[in-house]
Amino acid sequence: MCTHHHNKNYTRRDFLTKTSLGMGALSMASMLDPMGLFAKENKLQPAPLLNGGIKGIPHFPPRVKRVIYLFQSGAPSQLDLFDYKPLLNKMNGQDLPESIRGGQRLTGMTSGQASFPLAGTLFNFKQHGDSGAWMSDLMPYTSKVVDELCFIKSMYTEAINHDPAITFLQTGSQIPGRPSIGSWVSYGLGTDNKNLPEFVVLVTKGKTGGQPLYARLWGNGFLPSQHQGVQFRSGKDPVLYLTNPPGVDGILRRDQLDHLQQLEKLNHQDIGDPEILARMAQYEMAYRMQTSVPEIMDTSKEPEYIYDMYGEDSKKPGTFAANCLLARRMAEKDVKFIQLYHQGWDQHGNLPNAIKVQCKDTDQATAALITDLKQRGMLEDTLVIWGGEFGRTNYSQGQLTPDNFGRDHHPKCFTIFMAGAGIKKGITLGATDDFGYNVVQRPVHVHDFQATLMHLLGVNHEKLTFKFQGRRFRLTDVHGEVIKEILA
Amino acid sequence: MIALDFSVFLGRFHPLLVHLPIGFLILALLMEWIQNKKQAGTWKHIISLTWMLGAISAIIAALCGWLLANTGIYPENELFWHRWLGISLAIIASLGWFIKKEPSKYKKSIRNSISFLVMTLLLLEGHLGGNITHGAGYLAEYAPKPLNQLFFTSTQHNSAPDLSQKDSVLVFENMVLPILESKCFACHNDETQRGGLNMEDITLLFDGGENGPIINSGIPLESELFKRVTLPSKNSKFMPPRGEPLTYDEIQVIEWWIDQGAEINKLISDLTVTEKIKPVVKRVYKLDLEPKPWYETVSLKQVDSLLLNNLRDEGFIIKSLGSENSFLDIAFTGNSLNIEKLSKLVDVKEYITWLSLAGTNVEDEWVSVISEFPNLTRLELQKTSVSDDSVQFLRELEHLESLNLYGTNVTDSCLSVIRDFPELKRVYLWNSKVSFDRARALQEGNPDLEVEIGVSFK
Repeated sequence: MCTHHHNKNYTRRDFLTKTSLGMGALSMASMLDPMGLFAKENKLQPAPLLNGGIKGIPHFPPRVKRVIYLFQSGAPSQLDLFDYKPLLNKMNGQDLPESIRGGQRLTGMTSGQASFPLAGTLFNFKQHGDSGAWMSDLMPYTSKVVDELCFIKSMYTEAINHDPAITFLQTGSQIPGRPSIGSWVSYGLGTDNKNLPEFVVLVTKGKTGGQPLYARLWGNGFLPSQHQGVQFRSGKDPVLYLTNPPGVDGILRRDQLDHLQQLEKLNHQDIGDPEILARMAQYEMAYRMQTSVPEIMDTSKEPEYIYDMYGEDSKKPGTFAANCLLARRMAEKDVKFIQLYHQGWDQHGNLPNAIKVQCKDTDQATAALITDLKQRGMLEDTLVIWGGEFGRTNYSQGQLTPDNFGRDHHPKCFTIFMAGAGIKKGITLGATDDFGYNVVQRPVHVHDFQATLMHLLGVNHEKLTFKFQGRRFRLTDVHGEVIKEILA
Repeated sequence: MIALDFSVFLGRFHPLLVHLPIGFLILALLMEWIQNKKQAGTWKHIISLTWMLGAISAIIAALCGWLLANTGIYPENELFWHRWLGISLAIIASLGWFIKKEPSKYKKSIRNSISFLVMTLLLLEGHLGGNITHGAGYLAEYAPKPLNQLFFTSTQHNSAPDLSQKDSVLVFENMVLPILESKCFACHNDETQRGGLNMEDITLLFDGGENGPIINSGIPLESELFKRVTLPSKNSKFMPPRGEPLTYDEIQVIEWWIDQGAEINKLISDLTVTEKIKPVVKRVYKLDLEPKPWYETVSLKQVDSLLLNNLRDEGFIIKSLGSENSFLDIAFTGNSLNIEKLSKLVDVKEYITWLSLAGTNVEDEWVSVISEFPNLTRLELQKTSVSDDSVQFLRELEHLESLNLYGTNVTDSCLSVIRDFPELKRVYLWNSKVSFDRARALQEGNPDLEVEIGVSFK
């Protein structure tokens, strides 16, 4: 066995097989498209640009330069927050008609249930703003900014459990292993600020609940690993292992990195593994973040009225409110994709009480973030998204009492809202039936949502691909239609 | 009626039966040719028999064809040659049968010319029939491009005119008429008026046919023109009865035109453009009716990348708006800006459409440089020390849509300048020296301008 072969880029055999294949492909290509042979650019293997993006991207002028995605993990109940269904109150306790359920599969948690008693919401709904959007009393602050929002009430997904559903929303596939939206954005568009990562993740502290989050949700999948999301934590060490060990100062670190750089360059010339470049890029990023991260995480100079706006939680590091404030600061520094996660919405039981806590955690800060971005002129080119991974059922999981019930997972409809650049404000797209069970108007699939998100960033979702294991992958797989109706 | 039904029944055997004479006659010609090659006279009888079968089946096919043509669903102008060539073919085939029975009686030249004539007629007639059934251009539609260009003049001309301005497009003449022309005129023209309807003449079009007017202005659902083309295609009243039905886009255009009053001399810009018609107009007529930002309406040639690299060396962050759009999004961050650096941007001045100097040390006098950027649409000067003087410089920017001045030293006196920007849509004044009340007043006086003064927390 020849052990030295794997060190070489090409063997003689490689050369012969690859060049002959290439000649075949060349002649085939020229037959199909004679002029394409003389095209200046090789469309299949775009070269990365200086700032890390891909040549030719954006495909068209972007409406959005950065995204703040407030992910509500666990799936908030659309029926108690946005999707007002008085029929459920009228029929409270009656069984969900089979004609409405239509054989929809159930989770293991309610499949054994003898009946499916419809559960009307216990909260008051009112119309707000000039747009007349329905909101429950649970979100008094967000209710005040509805005229900035675009609601999509007809979202639907394919998964009925958290892990596959979140993975689906974040990566376009229920099966783990694909790059997250933020990674695609980082890969395609590159950076606007070399001192911070393009994709940052902030997770609310102490809200783990029953549903864990895992780093692969912001993973790079098969994309080069510098495109993975970097999680910023609250506390002394926002990014783990970033500070120099005791006894090592900045100059020594720089020196060390420079020498490592030279060694790794040789290594890369030998083996040609792109991950070597990725690792070097990450080392350099870590070095730059040693100064940029403490600066961005230090909110002590924010004026008091800003803290008032985001709510008292915003002074406690690690809360959703504090993370919203950080998100704004990162957006100001041109971080491209800022992903917040707030867990705890998975209310299978005791929903009326648990949802109050969740809303108190998130409502004021969400509204404040939108208002704050607006007054800074940043809604001009920033998109804010609020939403979970699926909806919740219109019937009660477990016993329905006059003041308590639970709701199970419901993939067939859920509500999200967006605010900011490129989309119409003060509108609602789509509708569900009177039972709040099925979509009856303008269904929006997860892939459509993803396609729209990419479109707003100036990216044709069908053209941003990455070849892996012999196939070109993209965020929306082979699906996804841009939701034209909501584009401004 | 029953008699008619029966003749339709027989008529519809025409497409089936026509293949018999084609087969028989070609077989006969082939056998003659082989016989000549082999110099064998033994095939005489079988050849004569094949000619007979060819002639008889040609006559039957022609008869069925006649009956089918009488059902009236085929436009007469397309039918003329097919009808008479078919009859000629039947006659010539019979003549051929007569001659080939006793071939020795006739000269070789007569025999050959009959064979040649039959072959030519078969090809021509078969092709004409195919065109009537499948539509002209069917045969060559998927031929490889070069072949198509060489041998077939493309019949699939997309009749969409390239209409680039919405105030120059006549809705009836440029959009509706071409549809009627391609899908309706065949049976409803000056010569033939099926159902008593002539669409070629505008007055007669509005007069309608035997059953009255076909256009009820403003109400598509009560207009026969719209109803007939949207019926289920199996319905006997469906129009057009044969050939390609109207496409989705064509139906949308007709519906919109009737809905808007079915007027003859209106431009697109005169009518209400509905959300439904927008994508259709964009698809078919390449005319985008969505209001567009300035930088998407002008096109510039590619900017010299060497120039851009020089600017990057000066510390500017430069991005292109897209692979098809040469406009630039330029930003500078930090406190190392100076007038020399800023002046370098003049090299690419017409390319700059977004410029951010937010949080920099930019000074009022330097802003005069920015006023030279003719295509600037978005300017970010927030969190700098600029004041009203800067706004004065900027008044030259006729395409400016968004101006961010939050956290600057601008005061109430800049509002009168801001009001006069022709294209300005959004201005951000939060945390500046502009008073809340004056900003509100500006907002109320200018509904098209969004004045953001922010939340009054201070």
